Amino acid sequence: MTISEIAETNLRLAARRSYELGRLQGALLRGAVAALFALPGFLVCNQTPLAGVFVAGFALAVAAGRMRGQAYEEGTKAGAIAGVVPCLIPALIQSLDPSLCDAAMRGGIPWPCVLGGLGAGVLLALRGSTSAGLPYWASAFGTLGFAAALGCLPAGAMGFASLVAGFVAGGIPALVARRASG
Amino acid sequence: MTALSRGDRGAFDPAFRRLWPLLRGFARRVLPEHDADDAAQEALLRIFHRASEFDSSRDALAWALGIAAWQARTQRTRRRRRREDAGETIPERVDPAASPEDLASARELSAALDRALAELPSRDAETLLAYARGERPDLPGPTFRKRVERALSRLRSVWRIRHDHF
Repeated sequence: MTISEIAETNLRLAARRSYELGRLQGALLRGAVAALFALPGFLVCNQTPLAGVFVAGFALAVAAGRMRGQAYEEGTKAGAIAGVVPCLIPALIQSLDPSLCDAAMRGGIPWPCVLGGLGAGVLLALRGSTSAGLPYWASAFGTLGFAAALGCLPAGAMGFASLVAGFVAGGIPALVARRASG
Repeated sequence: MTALSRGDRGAFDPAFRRLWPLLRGFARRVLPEHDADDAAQEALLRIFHRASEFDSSRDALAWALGIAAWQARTQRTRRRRRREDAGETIPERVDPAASPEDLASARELSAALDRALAELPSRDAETLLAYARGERPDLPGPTFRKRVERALSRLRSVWRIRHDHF
């Protein structure tokens, strides 16, 4: 190996490090922005340690998707956009009428979770890439799960069931309509 | 660059192989050789650092050369500042063991310089003398630097005409 080849190899390594560092910085920034979006869901009616874990999980999922890139990044993006709806609906209700949040989340069927799931299902069905593989969908559902769980945590197991029911009810018709329209 | 911006690591090597000779060639065209490689390397690292931000609707070549041009400008500014700082901070060294021949030669050189300065327009001579003394006339920094560069280039021309053998 000549000196110029060694120098070029070192430069290539430095360039690769620089590329990864640039991606990491972008990923951390995107994770921080995602956490900011999810923060109202934590602050308004859900300040528990478990909810904190979900906020951190959501931010980390978005950051990891950005760092890894390609289908993972696309998937986390779609999941984050869809997940913001169920994450923020309870916070929106609480900010409009503080008594409504408790009543809606703890009595009978937690309809904010149904509504959030419905919105998330429609968004993911319309935005999601139908030809994408497992990395895309795993990232999308993982990110969506963190964000949506944050919104429906106060309603407990019933909240999760309502969220899933809403998601299926919103997602399947939207997906069928999308396929039908080509 | 589009593939790299999407996180496709497989595009790294082809991008490196195309970018490095291009940036080195560009830098050598706009900078002296000893500065060109430094500037090209810094531009390359900066391009890869910012590759994830690359907007695929833009022209990749123009984007990369824009960064390289900026880096070349930075390198030129850095070099000029370094030269100025060195001129201001390095004390004049007097060789205690200078021989009579050396002293005579220095006197001759000094007289030749005085004659060359006398041939310059008075403003150029004043600018150079002020610069040599480390004085800063009441002028904005970039204006003064421009005047120094112009005066130096005229002094070089005069010197070349009078002392071809130097």
